[in-house]
Amino acid sequence: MKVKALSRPKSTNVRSTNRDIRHEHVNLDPLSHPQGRAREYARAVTAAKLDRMFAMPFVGEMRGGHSDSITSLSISRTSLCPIVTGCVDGSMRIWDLQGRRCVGMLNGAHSRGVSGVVFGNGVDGRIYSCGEDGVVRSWNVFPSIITHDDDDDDDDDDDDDDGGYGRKPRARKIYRNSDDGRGGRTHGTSTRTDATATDGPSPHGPMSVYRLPSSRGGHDGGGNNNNNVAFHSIDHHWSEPRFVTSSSDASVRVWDPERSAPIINFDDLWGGDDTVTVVRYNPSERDLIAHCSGDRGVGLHDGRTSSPLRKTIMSMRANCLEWNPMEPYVFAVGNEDHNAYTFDMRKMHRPTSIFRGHVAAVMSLSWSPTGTEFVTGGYDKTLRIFSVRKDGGSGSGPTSSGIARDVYHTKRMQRVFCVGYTSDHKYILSGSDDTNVRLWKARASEKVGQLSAREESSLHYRDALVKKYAHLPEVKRIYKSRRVPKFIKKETQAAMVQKEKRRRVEGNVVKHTRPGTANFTDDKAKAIVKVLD
Amino acid sequence: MSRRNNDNGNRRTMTKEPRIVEGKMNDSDDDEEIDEDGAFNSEDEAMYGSAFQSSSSRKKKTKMTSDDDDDGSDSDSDDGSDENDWAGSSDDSDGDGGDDDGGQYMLDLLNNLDGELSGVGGGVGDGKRSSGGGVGGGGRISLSGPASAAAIRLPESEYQSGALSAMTDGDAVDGYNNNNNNNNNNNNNNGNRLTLDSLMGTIADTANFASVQKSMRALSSGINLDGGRNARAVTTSAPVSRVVSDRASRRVHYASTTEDVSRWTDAIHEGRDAETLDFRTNGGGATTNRVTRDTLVEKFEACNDFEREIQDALEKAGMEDEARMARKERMRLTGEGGAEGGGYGDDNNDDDVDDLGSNVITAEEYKKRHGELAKLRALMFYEEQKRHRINKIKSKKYRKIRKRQRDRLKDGEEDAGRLDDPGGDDRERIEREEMDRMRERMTLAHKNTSKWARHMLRRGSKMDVEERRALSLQIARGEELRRKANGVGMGVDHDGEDGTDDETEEDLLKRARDILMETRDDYINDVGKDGDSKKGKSKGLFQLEFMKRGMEAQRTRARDEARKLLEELEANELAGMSSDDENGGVVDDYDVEERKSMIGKEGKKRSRVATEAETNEALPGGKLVASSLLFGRGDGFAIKVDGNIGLGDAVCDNLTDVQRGVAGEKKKSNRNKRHKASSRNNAGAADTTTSNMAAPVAEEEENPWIISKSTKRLSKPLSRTININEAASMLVDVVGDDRDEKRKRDGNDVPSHGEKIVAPKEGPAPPVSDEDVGIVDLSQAELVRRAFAAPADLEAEAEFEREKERMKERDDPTRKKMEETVVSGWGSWAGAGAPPPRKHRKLPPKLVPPTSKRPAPQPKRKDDGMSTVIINEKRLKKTAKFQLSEIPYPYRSREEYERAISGSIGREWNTIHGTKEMSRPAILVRAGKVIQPITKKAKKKVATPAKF
Repeated sequence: MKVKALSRPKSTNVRSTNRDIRHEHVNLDPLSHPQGRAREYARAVTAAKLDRMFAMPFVGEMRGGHSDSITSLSISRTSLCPIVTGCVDGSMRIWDLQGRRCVGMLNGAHSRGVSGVVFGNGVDGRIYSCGEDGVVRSWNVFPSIITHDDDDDDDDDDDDDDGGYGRKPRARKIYRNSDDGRGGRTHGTSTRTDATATDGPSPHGPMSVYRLPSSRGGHDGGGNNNNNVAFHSIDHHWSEPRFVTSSSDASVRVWDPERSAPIINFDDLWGGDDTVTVVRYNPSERDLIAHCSGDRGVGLHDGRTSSPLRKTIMSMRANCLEWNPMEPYVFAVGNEDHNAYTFDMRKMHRPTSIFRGHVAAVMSLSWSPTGTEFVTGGYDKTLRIFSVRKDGGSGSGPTSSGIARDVYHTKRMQRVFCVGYTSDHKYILSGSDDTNVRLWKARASEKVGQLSAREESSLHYRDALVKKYAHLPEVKRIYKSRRVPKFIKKETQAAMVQKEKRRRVEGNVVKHTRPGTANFTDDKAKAIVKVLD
Repeated sequence: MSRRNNDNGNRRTMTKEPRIVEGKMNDSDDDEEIDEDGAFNSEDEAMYGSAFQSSSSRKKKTKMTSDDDDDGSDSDSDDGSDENDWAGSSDDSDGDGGDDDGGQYMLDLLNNLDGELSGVGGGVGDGKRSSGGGVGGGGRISLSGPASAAAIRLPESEYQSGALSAMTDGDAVDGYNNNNNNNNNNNNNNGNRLTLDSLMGTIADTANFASVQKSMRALSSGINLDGGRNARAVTTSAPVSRVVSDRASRRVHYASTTEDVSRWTDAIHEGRDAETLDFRTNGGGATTNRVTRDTLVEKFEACNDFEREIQDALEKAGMEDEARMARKERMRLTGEGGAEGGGYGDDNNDDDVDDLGSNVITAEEYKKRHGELAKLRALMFYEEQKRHRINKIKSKKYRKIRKRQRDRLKDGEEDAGRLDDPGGDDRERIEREEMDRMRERMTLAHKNTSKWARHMLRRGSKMDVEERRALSLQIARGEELRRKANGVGMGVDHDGEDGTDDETEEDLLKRARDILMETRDDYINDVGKDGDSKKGKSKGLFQLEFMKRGMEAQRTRARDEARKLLEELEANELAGMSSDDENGGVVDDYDVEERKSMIGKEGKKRSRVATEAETNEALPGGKLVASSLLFGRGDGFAIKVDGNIGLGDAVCDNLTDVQRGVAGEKKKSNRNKRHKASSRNNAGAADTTTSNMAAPVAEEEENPWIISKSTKRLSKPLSRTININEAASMLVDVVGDDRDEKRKRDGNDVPSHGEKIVAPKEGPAPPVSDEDVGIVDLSQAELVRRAFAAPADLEAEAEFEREKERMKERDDPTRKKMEETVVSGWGSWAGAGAPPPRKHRKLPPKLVPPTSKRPAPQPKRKDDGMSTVIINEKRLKKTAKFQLSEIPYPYRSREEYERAISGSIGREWNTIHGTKEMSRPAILVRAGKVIQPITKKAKKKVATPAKF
């Protein structure tokens, strides 16, 4: 008699080793998988819940650093590890992001507050800092390759992208060297080393000092220039050895590191006499410069023509400006009116989108290297991440929702003055009033580290499900809800009430006036006062 | 403000000529000047923002030429005080720098002039150059000034301070003011023309410039002397203001930059429209390096000794590549290798011949042989498979079929043989059939008495189709046999069943009577104690008026039912008798006598029961008897009775009338029946008949009919079949109601002819006969309708209305709370010694809100116009979480959204690839990889076809 039994080949059931992944059997018969939509909806709800459960954006803070509020932060353009921060007390810190520790303390880098720091484009391995004392200084990130850099400067010039940091491993070693000298003591007794550090010359530099040429007295006397000009921002050219500064004398200057005086001086900016607060090079259109000024203006220059291009006056002052790294004619500004705006530089009369959510001024802004989202740091002690891409993917563009996809805050974080999106699209850095630099995950529930293929596909599936069913009330409620501090919640509610009221009043006005005479206010148009050309 | 104009003009000229800005030019003084200027501007703008804005807007409209005027007029308002201030500051400024600047400025000017005035003549140029020093020379010199006052407009102002400071050693302020005024005038008069006169006008009365003045005058006079030629040719237009020119340049630059930047549009939109942005690697590189077997084979080169050796051996064997191997194979098979194969090496070939030489066949032979073999093999295989399959079949059914097939074959053969030899086999066949019959009788297979059959019957409705069929087959067979058996005397068989039927009928009758009697007693009692006992009896709920009424109604209804039933039963009995009479046809004297005596004795009582008056009398108190009467008696019969009642009141009313007339006969018939029984039975049976007669007398006693039953049983074979249906039909005949007509139409085989009682045509099956008369002649649908008779349509409609009203009430947003808002006890003290709760007082009338006379308008509902629809307007919470109130943002229509959301993306419903595609994230990055901003180079890289 023949006995029928289920038999499966061993290869489909048995793992070759204990570590091997388990086999999965899928029945492809559609009859055994009824009610696909209902099941996927249930999965989507679960996925949304899991997303929220795993949401832990705060990675850690970087200790042993500053003793006053952090004003500026810069991330290397060619390497992931080093970042540099500047402080109100005139000191700077170089950090190793991987170890989350301070590797270089540049105390007394400036006699007044450090207003801007920027990494060079990797060609010369430098960082540049500007201060309110009217001085620009350049420093070396990796002190022990000073000589090397000096030697190879000419050779590196032809290589745009991976110049100085192609030798990263060596650079890592150099960290250690610097630790022996100074950084080794940073962990335990940081304050004491601060005291000692100010005295001797730092291994990091300053490599060179740049001052505005003064008419009288000469520029080499003392730390401060006579003509009382403070620098407010600095940015480096993305391919050439050149940097640009903005200063309180309403001018934007382009410098060559080899020269002591600026090579281009945009000092007549539409007759304005207000401080130029921010200046930024375009990463792709390499000579395009944008600036924000104290007269609420956002202006453009071209470094080749030495002529300003156009300026738009907004209704309130822009605090920060960044170019989109992937969309060369798009830039975003963070505004004093709690909003961020994106502009198309070809149409300066109107922002392309408004990004709302902050309940205080937006102090800083940083694009993701993918150009799809940016993070803003606000005076309301939160970070917000805005996506400029439409959720649906195709047909995207300037039609994003304008609402932050996430809000980060901690109890101890104070007003955020500087933010940075790391160049691998994974992390966010913030420097705030509470003297700390914090490291966040860019996607709160993302797992850090290597994923197995199966894990990855499962995560992708979950994300896709949530995206697909995001409109349904249950999924939406779970997925979009964020806890925010009470203050922010209250403020947001108040703002909503105000907006609602305004809307209502406007509606009444429109309703009761002759058609065509009154209309609803256009928020985008309202943000711009005028355009100067 | 002319000063600003001049300023701007100077700037412009300076930008024309490349100047190095190193150190010297950026004097502190100058910077301050500029700063001041700028500061003024900004302040001014802040204060008079609107004015500036309006002016700027006007500027946009007007052309460049008018811009200067605007500037001038704008600044006019400030002129007085401001100029003075400025003059003061200029006085303070030291002369050195000023002189220097002035010198440079003049040089510049003169350089310009050199070019422009080359046509005027060398003398003029010389003269001007000589006038250097402190004099601010005009850029363009007009020799045909309209006014006597010469006016030179200074186009520059950045260094003007120096120049003018040199100029205004004396009372320069006045002069400058004059100059200003003149400027303005001149602007109005000749536009932007500069004239030598206007230039000279300012220095007309200064002693220090006497020499200059003189030379200039000479110059001017000389030119004037030269005459009209110069006057026509000379005046050149002043440079446009720096503001305007700068603006123009900015516009141009902006336009060009915009154009430049717009080249990114395609790349940007590509990125924006991409479903997925992959920043992990640059694709394409991987595919080029992919290693495949073919590439390996193609590129193979023996590099070490071992490989080389193998390669050699293979080559020697002619098997170094696949094509050769195939060819060789073919050659060996077809044997043609000999001719071609010579090239491969003689040794190999010889070996082949030795081994296979005898077996060499031609290609045709080979193919043919191969085909044959293949065919054989296939056939064998097919047969084998078939056998195998058949042998493996285990099904009994299949085997049975096979067996039957075999038998049939055999039978066929036998039949064929019989045809050949008739008569011989006949006996055998009859014998065999007889055997079959006997076997069947022994097994009683045709009756439902076998164990299996009983089991099946017990299972009842749970039988499946097969079993049911088998059972019915069996019964049918039995039927057939019986029919065969009854072929001669048909009526005999019925009696068994009919007897029981009769018996049941009688039983029923008796019970009905019992009940009627009982109720009569009750009624009498009721009436008797009517006055006093009613109150005591009916308590509580039954006290209520409508309850009483209801009870009454119920009673009457029950009474009616009972009465009808009784009538019907009696009628049956009567019919039975009459039929007996008919059939029997013999009425002896004894019978008559007997009948008379019956009338005399107990017959009275029985007849009385039957009349309507009696029933009415008996059932006034009306117990709820009908139902018990009906359902106490099991299924079939109960339905019958019900149906008869349902036929209508009219029939019954008529019946009652008839009944009176018939009552007498009834008695007779009763007696007849019994008489027949007795006559047909032996003498012993006579005793029983007498006892039977005696029995009805003591009707109240328990079940006297049992005896009669027993007699019936005895007389079973003799008594005629009477069933209710027949009786009813007969009754109706008697009445002559038109109902009858209808019945006839409905019922198929109702015996409607007069007094004749016909036995049902298919005698043997009483249930059949039961069913083809009476209610059963109603259609099935009708029966069902009656059985489940819903409340009348009106009632349903009313119910629906009520429901709708209730919904309306529930959803009414304006509904007021009917409950009292004030609950007693609230708001008052509690506990020991607490004062009693205050009564809720009504508001004084003046505080009571006026009640509107018009009722509030009913809120609109969706189902307002629809009489047969209730639309629930309440939101269903359970389904709300699956529903969207509006179409989500990126989608424009419902269809679009539904299309987007339709289908599943999981791997249960898709291929692996499909799932992967559908769940691909929008942005793919690799951890730790620096993403560089978009570059032109990268763009080019993408454009090049990296993949092949």
